[in-house]
Amino acid sequence: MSIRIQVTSASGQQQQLQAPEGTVLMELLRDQSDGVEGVCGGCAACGTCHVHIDPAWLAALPACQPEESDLLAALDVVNGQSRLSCQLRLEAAMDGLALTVVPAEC
Amino acid sequence: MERLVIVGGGHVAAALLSQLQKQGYGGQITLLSAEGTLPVNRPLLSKDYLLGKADDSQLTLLDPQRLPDLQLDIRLDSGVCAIDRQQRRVLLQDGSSLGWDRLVLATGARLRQLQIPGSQLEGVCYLKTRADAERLRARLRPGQRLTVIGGGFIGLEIAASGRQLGLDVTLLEAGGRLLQRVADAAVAEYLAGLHQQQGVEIRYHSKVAELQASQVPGHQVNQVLLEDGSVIPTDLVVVGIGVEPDSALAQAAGLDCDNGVRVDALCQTSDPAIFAAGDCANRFNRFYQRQLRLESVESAQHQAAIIAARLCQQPEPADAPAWFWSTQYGHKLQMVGLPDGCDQVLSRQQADSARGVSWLYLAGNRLLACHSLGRPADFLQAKKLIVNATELDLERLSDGDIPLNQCLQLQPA
Ligand SMILES: Cc1cc2nc3c(=O)[nH]c(=O)nc-3n(C[C@H](O)[C@H](O)[C@H](O)COP(=O)(O)OP(=O)(O)OC[C@H]3O[C@@H](n4cnc5c(N)ncnc54)[C@H](O)[C@@H]3O)c2cc1C
Ligand code: FES
Repeated sequence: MSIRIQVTSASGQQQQLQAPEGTVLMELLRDQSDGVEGVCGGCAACGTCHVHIDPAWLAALPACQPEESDLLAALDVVNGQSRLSCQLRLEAAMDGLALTVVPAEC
Repeated sequence: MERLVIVGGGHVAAALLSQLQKQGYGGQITLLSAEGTLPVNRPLLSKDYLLGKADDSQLTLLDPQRLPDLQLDIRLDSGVCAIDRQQRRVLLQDGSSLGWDRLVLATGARLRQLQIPGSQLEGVCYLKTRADAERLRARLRPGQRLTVIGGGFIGLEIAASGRQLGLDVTLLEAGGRLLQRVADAAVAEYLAGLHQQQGVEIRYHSKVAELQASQVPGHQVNQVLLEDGSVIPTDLVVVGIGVEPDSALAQAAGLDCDNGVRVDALCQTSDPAIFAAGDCANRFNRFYQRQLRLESVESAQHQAAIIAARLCQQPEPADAPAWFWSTQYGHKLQMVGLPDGCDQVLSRQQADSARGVSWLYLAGNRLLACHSLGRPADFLQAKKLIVNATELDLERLSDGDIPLNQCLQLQPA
């Protein structure tokens, strides 16, 4: 099944992306202009794949594992909508997911 | 139309293509890789992949379907054997050749090979490519005896994965401590403790003289002979004794080489039409104001971004402190900056918890580097403090309960 997501870039541009179920969200966002950097390739080591999830969708996502929450806690512009996109895989329940890319902090 | 040829299909190549897609590069691109697979996410090979925790999509760094705007021809198993600078062509191993207007050398580094009797025996493994990783994983069976030669990051990660999979692990280090080339003694000691707790036997000052197979005509390694005469029975040997920059092509083509292909801050070699980046490149780093050859994912990606910006006439990204990570037994080590020139090392951890520790490398009251285990906030904040050469309050720094970014030296009013 193909999952659609609604992405708002850091500069405010919106686009819809589509990818098969099971795709790691960061990998999808990495090749978009204005997408995330994802330097560590999903090892939860860099914090450069930060996104803010639309509040309506937060509950549809699996909970943060400690690895993710530790790194998130270390970022500056973190809030209740923050997730690391490398720790999320597209699932059927996420079809329509809306999120905003947060620029890498350094 | 500009013809861009990229030699090497690793981290630099993958990041370069991703950047070229993002920045709208319009030339004709050919990627020539000696490997038989699309660029592979190497850090996972020694960690999650061996533990059976990484799937195909995570292992592959590049999905051509996500690069729809590039005119891209990817040729795997296509090793380049020479560069003809006069004719602006590369010669391939299959005898064909290909013309270019711009050439990127992204050939990475070659694993240093053990040069002792028995090195060719069955059961002696290295780890660099996906094929290596598949071979090694098939051999990591619980209860087997694994001998790791080399106490660098890759050796330590393989030792950790082996232990987690239930093997008996012995790690042989030629020197007096781990990570001699890449990390400070305090970090090395801490990690050594971690491995010992997990049951790895670490043997220092252990130079390997020979690998032996006792059964004639069996070719399976079954013991390691050290120079001091001691013998270590084993079922499997993994060699992780470092790498050498792969600059053979550049050297033969007459490009300036010295500890890798010498490039300027913009990744340009001594031939303005040829760039080099990643493990093979010794680049002038503007943050450190000197030539530097780094072996890390971050450096590969940063240099790829510089080349992409040049090819697309965009402003190139600024240099920043180098960083690296490693994961062992689920503990994440994150290192940022270079400690050279440090006059003081402080360690910090939380008073009431055994969770994590960071080492800060200082010159006066400025931070040069931070190596942290399980304290990602220190790592991320240290990056910014190093970039900005922020003056710090050393007393507050030593208190692991105070966030690093609240340890600034207050200016007298
Ligand atoms: C097991 C392992 C674990 C690692 N873990 C980490 C980590 O946790 N964190 C980190 O920051 N770094 C890590 N690294 C280092 C990191 O992977 C390298 O720094 C990075 O891959 C460098 O990218 P590169 O493109 O320069 O070289 P590579 O990724 O090595 O790619 C070079 C490519 O060039 C090809 N090539 C060479 N010569 C030719 C030729 N003549 N013709 C055609 N192709 C050629 C090679 O086959 C290869 O595909 C690890 C490396 C390994 C092997
Ligand atoms: S890609 Fe590095 S933390 Fe997500």
